[in-house]
Amino acid sequence: MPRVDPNLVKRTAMFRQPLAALLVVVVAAVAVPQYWLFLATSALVSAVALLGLGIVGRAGMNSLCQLSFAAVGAWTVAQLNVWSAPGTLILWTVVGGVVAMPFGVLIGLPALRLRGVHLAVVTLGFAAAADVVVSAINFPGVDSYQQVMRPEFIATDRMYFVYAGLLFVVLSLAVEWVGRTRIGASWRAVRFSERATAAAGTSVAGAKLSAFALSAFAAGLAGGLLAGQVGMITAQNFGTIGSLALFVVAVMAGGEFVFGALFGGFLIMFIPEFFRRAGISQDWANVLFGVGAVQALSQGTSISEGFAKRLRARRPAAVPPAREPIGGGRPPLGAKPLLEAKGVGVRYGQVTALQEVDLVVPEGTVMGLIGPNGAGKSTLVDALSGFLPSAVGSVTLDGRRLDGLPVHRRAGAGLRRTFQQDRVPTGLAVDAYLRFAAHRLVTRDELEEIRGFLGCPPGDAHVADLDVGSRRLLEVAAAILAKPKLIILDEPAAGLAHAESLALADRLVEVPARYGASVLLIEHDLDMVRHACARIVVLDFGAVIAAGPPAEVLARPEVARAYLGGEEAALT
Amino acid sequence: MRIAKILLAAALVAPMAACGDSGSGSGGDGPINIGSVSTLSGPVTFPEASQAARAVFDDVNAKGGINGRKIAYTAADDKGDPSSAALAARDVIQNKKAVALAGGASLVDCQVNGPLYAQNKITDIRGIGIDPGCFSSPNISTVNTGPYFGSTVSLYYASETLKLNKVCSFFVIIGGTANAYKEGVDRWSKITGKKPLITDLSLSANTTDYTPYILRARDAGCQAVLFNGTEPMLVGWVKAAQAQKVKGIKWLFLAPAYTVEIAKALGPAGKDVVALSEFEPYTDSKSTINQDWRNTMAGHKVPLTSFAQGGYLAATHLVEVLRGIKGDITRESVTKAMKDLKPLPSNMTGTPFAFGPGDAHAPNTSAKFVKPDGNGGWTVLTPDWIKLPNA
Amino acid sequence: MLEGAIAGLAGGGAYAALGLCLTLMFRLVRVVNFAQVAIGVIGVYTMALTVDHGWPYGLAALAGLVTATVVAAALGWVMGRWFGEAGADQRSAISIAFLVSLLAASYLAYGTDPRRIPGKFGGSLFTVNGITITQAAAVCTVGSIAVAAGAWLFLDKTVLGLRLRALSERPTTAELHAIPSRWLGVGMWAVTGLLAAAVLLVVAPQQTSDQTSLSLMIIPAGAAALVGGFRSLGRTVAGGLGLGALQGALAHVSQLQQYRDTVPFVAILAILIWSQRREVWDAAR
Repeated sequence: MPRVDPNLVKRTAMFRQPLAALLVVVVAAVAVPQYWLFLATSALVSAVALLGLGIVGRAGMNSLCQLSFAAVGAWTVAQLNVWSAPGTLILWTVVGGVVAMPFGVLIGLPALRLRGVHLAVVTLGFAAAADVVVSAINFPGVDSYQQVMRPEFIATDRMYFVYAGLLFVVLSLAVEWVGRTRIGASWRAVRFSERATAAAGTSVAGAKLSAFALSAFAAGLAGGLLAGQVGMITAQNFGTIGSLALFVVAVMAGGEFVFGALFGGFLIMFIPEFFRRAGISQDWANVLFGVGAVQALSQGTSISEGFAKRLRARRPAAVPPAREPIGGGRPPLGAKPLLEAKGVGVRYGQVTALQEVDLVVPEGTVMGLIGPNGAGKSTLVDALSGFLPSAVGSVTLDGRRLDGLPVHRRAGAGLRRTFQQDRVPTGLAVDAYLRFAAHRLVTRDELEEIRGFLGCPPGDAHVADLDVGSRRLLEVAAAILAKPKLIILDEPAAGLAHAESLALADRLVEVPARYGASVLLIEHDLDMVRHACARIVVLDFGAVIAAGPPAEVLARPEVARAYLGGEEAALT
Repeated sequence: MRIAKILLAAALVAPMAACGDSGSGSGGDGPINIGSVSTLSGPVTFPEASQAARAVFDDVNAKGGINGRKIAYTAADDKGDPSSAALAARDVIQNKKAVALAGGASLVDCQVNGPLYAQNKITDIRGIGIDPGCFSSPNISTVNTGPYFGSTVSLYYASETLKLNKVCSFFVIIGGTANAYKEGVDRWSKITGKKPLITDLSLSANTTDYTPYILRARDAGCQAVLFNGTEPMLVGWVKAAQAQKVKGIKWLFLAPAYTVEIAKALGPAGKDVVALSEFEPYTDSKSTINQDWRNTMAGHKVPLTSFAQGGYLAATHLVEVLRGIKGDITRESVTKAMKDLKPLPSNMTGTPFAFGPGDAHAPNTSAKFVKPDGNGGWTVLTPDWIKLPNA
Repeated sequence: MLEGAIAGLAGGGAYAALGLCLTLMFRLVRVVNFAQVAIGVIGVYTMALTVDHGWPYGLAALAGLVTATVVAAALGWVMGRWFGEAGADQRSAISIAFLVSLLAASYLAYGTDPRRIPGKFGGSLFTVNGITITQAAAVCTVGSIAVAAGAWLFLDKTVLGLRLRALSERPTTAELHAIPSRWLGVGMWAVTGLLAAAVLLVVAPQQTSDQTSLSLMIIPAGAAALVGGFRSLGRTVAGGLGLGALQGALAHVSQLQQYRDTVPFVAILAILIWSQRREVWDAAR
């Protein structure tokens, strides 16, 4: 049976939608009458702004001030036009986009502390404030009656349409491309969990700000494009309600997809025109958009996401190969201390969660950290990985002091952790997630190898389609792939069947030798701990109560008491 | 997904439905296509001007048209939005193949489309010019005084006729109008050599409560305050002043105030209000000057407002220009006639309408002033036109 | 300055009362209702329309209140029917769609001509030291404080209030305990819709009253609610009144020129970022 190379299909996938868009533009440029081309140009302007909205959407943030950024772009273009700056409209438009970026970062700053609806209210407030400023400062050239000049070769409305179309295609290619880089993955990761993003070595601030900056860039381009199209721009182009309507259309059509943005731009311009021609009030268009957005959200997806899901659903679901149980073996004890924590303490108000914990994890070993619920295990992990800036004590990794470093820097220094809760972003494919979380350049072979090692699903499977157990394994795989010095696994076997837990334990034993990383394993499953660990540490009421080889420690009565609440019994 | 399908279908059908109409060319024996771009929907609308223009053209058609050719009139809607305005103008020029525009009244059209009209060598006799572009474009001339010259005339009336020397102005700035208002005030300073006490250009459509501004005017000792708001803003202004028991300041309002509804809404509270009439005051039913206008409006059920006067005047001026053209009526011949036009006097305005070859036109620099009579009507304060000297 | 600040209290009281609606909605039905003021606008315009048709003011106002309540209840029903288990973010995005649709619908229903809104609170109440307190300012300020107090008593001291709070945590769980969550949610929408319409009936006649700028009063109202963190009723009222007073006072600062409307935004942003400075992570753990 003849088959297309699947890698080739994958690599060209990102070009498919932009190229289809290019086709639409070319056909329209030839076949459509001039008046409709002008309308279609407006649709492209909206589509460019929608693409930008899709970028913050990927990062899980709502921006209700997209047209304010567009105003910045338009203003820049108008000013450069008045100055008769070199580079013609084409360069001015790009400059307009660039000038809009700092404003995007400015609005991104509150997003570092404000989330969800709080952020939405702030962006709406910004839109209103920007509306005030834009109304107050005249657009350059309006008083002196200077129209924004188009260069000769795009002077006609038809040619300008082609130019707008090309700009849209180039931008959508760029967005698709960036979406596949680590930055793009970090947007999706931030949307799912900020903690996991930081733990994967990526700055949350960087992810959010880059999303806002690029979104503002696209909006600025749209503003510049509009300035060139209409020639004379005024504040009414960039009203608050316009930003809201744009958001609603993005929700409905799906600004995260090139097709969705194009479709959304098309709807914004052509639905009112359709009503106008039919002799119906154009206000119906906004009613329709609102109803459409409600409908789209009640389906849980935008229109284009719905189509994308349907396309994907036709592909056969991937079945991960069964993990073979292997003989296990004992991890080496390790001698040289790798992680040294001294006097680590955490207080929440009056409650002492951790007191004076000393912990040494040697190089090249698998160590267990056990304790009853509420003993402070996860608090200790949070303190070690940098999530608790209020923690006292010192943490050293391989001789380097980690105190005061933020989470993503500790991750970069070689301390990786996983989470008890499922924190694998659902918006990504398996390999995309692995590449993102590895935070280094990895080869295809490395990906194959690690997936094979842990029995993860194939690389093109979508995380959203995986069961919880597979996601846990994937998280472990990602942590290993990052080549850290120490991996802290917080209950990785939760969600795995008992046999699978033991198989995972077998693999963990191999990790130090195979990947050069020590493992600190936090686990309730004592069988697994016994299998995997060379030493264990027992935590109770925020303090270390025992440490040593598993068999010996688990036999101690105080450990048994801690687990079983006073009953005199050995845990063997 | 149902809605998605409907939308997709609509989106696919729209362009096809569109290709159906494309206006026939002008010239020859077909109708003379005339268009206008007006703000007909949105938060602030001006529908009467184009309605009045249509009434004039309908009457001309009923009497046999111009040299046997009927006039086909298109009133396009720009929704008060620049992109829509650009689209509407292209609809009129490209699809409807208009030879000229007349009787439009829009918030944004002049500024957005002025260059397009110049490019396409088409002329526009504006019914009601609002944005600054209406007074600074080579191919647009408007019959009304407009807010900027209106501001100058109002201040001139306050300082020269009413002899009030502490004059203040508060402007609601919508779009890029700030400079034009400022120039309006400066023009008054230049003519009279007097300085305004306060010129506040900081109000916007989002300013919802005027009380602080009224208190500021009172505290500064203003004797006359010029305020440029639209209908509901004006009522809000007077009510806020009433609530604060501010008395004895003359409130000078521009043309939007001069409506029967405002007089009714103000009632006795309006005794300090003075409004500007850009044309012969339309509420003066005894005036013979407005007789033809009244009859035309009544015949076509167009509401009697000063905006309707603007549309009517613009249309009658255009008809006069068209009748004066020898040969075929095309866009070129109409534009040439406009550029060669000698001033057209009308009793409905204080200064004659003009076009001509200049780069900017503001033919109407005069006004009459009216005040509410307390019973829902208006009293004319100035039987003679207040005209700006050498403006 | 002081005069201006007091004059700003009419608007401030309205922001506070509308902010209370938002806070209550967020606490009890997990939505920042961007359409809150737009619902009130529907009520006010219904009133104006019926007055134009010759109805007496009292009857017309009643009609407006009823319309706003019914519209709010209908939207609440849609929200409960299809988005009962959705998160606050998604429900708020829905309310933005409601806002855009409602605004367009109000243009369709009431026309685009600006309307004058008849009102009963136009006059002044009393004058002290040359500072006049208007009826609207007094009604709004006292009203917003009364509503906050009433809401606090209701939520903390009554069984129904406690039920509502339980419901807001987990609607389905509440349903299992025989609390009819959907209908309580609809009721909540209806009550806040009624309240929003009542607030606008008081302030709209004194203000520029086109549908869009009235509906965008959601922004200062949202800012007031943000000051209270969408939780504290007291701080929401304080935020609203403070914002109104600040706007009023700033009208006397001529140096700010036309940019003065941006000052409240900057102030709110500063307060927010300071109060939320510890919210480094999206989840507790």
